[in-house]
Amino acid sequence: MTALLRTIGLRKAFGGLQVTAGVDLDLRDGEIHALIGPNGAGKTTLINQLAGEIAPDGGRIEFLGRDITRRPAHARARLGLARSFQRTSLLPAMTVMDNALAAALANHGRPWGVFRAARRDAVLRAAAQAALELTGLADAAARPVAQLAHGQRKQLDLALALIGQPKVLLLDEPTAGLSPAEGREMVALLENLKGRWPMLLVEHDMDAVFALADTLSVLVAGRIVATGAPQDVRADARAQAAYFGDEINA
Amino acid sequence: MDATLIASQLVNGLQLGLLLFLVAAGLTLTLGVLDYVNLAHGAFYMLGAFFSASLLELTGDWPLSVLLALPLLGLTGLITERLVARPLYGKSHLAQVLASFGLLLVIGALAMLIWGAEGRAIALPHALRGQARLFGVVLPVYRLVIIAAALAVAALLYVLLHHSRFGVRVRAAAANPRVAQALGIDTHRLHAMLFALGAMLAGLAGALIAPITEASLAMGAQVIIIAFVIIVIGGIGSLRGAFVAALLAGLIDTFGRAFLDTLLARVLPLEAAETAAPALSAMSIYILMALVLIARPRGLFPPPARGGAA
Amino acid sequence: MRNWRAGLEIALLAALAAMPVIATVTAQPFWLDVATRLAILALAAAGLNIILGLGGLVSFGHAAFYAIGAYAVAIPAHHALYGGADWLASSNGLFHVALAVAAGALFALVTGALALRTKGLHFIMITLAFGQMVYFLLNALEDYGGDDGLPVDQRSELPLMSLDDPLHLFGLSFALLAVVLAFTWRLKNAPFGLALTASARNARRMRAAGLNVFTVRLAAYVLAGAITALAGALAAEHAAFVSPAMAEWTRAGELMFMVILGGAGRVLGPLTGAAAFVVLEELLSSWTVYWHLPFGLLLIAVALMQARRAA
Repeated sequence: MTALLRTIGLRKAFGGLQVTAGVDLDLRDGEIHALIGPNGAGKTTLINQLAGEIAPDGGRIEFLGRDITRRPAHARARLGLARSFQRTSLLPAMTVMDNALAAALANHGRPWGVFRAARRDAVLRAAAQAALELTGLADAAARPVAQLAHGQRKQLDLALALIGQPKVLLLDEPTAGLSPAEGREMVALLENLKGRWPMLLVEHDMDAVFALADTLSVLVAGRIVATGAPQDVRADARAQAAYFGDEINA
Repeated sequence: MDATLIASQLVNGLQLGLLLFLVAAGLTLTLGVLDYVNLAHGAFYMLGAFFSASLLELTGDWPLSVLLALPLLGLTGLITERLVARPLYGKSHLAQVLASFGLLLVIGALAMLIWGAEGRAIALPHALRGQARLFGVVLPVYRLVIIAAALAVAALLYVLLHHSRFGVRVRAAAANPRVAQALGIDTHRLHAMLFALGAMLAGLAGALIAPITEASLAMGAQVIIIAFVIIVIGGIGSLRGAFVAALLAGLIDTFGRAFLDTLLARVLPLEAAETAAPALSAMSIYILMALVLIARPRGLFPPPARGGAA
Repeated sequence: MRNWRAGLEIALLAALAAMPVIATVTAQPFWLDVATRLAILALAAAGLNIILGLGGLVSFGHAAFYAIGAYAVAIPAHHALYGGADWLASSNGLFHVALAVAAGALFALVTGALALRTKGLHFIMITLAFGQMVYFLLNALEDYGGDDGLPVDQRSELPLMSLDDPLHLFGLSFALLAVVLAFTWRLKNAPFGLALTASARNARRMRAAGLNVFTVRLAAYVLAGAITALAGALAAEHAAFVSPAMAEWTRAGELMFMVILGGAGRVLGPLTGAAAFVVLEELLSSWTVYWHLPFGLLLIAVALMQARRAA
């Protein structure tokens, strides 16, 4: 099966530091591909390059068979490449519903209306409502973002990514900063979404990774050092040395 | 276009550019280090002119009047920093713009109360009024004096920022305010000193230009925008950029006014050239800014990105 | 607080609408003159409110649009009366207004496309510089009076009304203001308004949600420029005079003051802001020639309060 999202020899350096050092990565349809690695391995930088916020120095990014290496962030999102943010990125001082409506505008092709209220637009409302229901936020729709618990903010961040009916989800540490209970809730939520959206999942929580991932890649110092089925990678001595060992000792 | 004319325009352009650098230097320092937009910076330029005019009436000694204006300007800088600027560090640029615009109006009105609505002419000592022959070209002495003085100040400024403890602190604070604070640098004092330094530089420029243009209330509001354009071209926070851009602006503006009509007349009908030339030369530095920004949105010499909290 | 403010806004709108009656009853045509000026300034501020209030972009060159609109009336009228430039000469008010709006929109399109490549501080200064560019350009137009400005010796001709009649001119200004404010009200809650305000709050998220933030902002900038140019056209009719001073950056600062004082992004904010400005100016300047002193102090106070509230 061909990859939906693929990087070929992706490279990025900040100053003298090679943060992405020739990454080849495939995300296949229907799978959750988890990306793990120690802090500073370049996981978020990789996500930001995939999403189009940082331009790579070299290499290529292909999405749905197209070269998107030079496309701006919004154009990638319109093609169906959606992302969540490690530290949630929401619209403060707005309600949950307005956050969802705003996120729905472009991907539902209607950011230009100047007369009818967005809240009365049936298409936008339906899209927003559906995403909020999927992420368990339907009851919180009228609440301002400032009143949400951290777990709910993470859920909303995910909802905003889902709203455009994307083809691929890039999730940057969806359980980061969550309490154990909130974390379990998030994992259950993602399990529920599994199969409907292929995901590239950056995650620190190993329980979450082994519960969710079909494929596991280990990124160390900007390089993929191991990739394969989670059980195989776990057995891989190099990966253990590079990552699991640290984690256990920490 | 003979050589004498070109040489004298070159001197005029250099003189204008160097004075603009003195104004832009303080502005780019306060923006780069304090992240504070100071529209009232032009008021220091105006005050420099009026201070020296009044001091000249008191002392009768022109060089002394310029020197004595400097501590007054520094004091004005300290007062305005404490009252208006400091509460707005780290706040929105919009609030800074509004407040410093208000301050500009306040200083303007106070200046009108003190000196009246009319301008003040400043008479130079005889020795500075004449012409001098330099490299076979006759040039006004005073413009050469301005160039020499401004170059000396620019050199002093360079030494101060690159070879003194003060400079080390300023650059540390510019690179990373939090680290600077953690290193025990008294940032409040540093900010106040920088502000005062900027006020003195701008005021010196005003005092130096006043014998040519006379001191007027409007001069502050006019110069501030050009100074902003210069630091945008040079790269916000870059002193070197401000220097290069100020000279560019001074030369382009002067040469545009002097020669653009003749140049345009070679490619356009005379009447069209005479209409277009003043308009184009008046806009020349803004066009320069637009061109620079198309090629380099962060200016010619963008300083490295600020570390830590910005 | 919110209700108090909304009440004030509605009362002001009503008072402005009733001004012709008040001026007639009190036999003080001066009041109608002030009301017309207020309506025109509020319209200019309403333009700025779209980009600054809703879009969160500190456009500091907005006076340029005002001047462009004004000269779009004065120049064709000048040629219609004194000959020359046949392609441009016209005394038709509809043409004048169309030209003002088109010129404002075009200037906004060109300068906005450049300025919006930058953000924050750069955006402020670049819009400021473009505004100043217009100021110097107008100063250099010797054929149109240069820095002395250009009188509008014959007001524009419109069907069904005479702009020489202060009542008609007020009616037109007020009607256009009402239309623009009503439009802003719809716009604010419509998808485009939501895209604009959401981008002001978090442009990164909106890009991730597929929005071309640059185009949305550029469209808002063009709209804002066109509206303020329309106000400038009315100002030319009202004063029967245009001058480069209309483009001066201090005027842009005053427009910003109006938008902020009225409440950035509030639909009727430009009205209260302009009213406050006009009242202050009339009051203070009748009281002292040094009226910039209290006005400047007030600006500082507003800014310090705004910064405290935002913190």
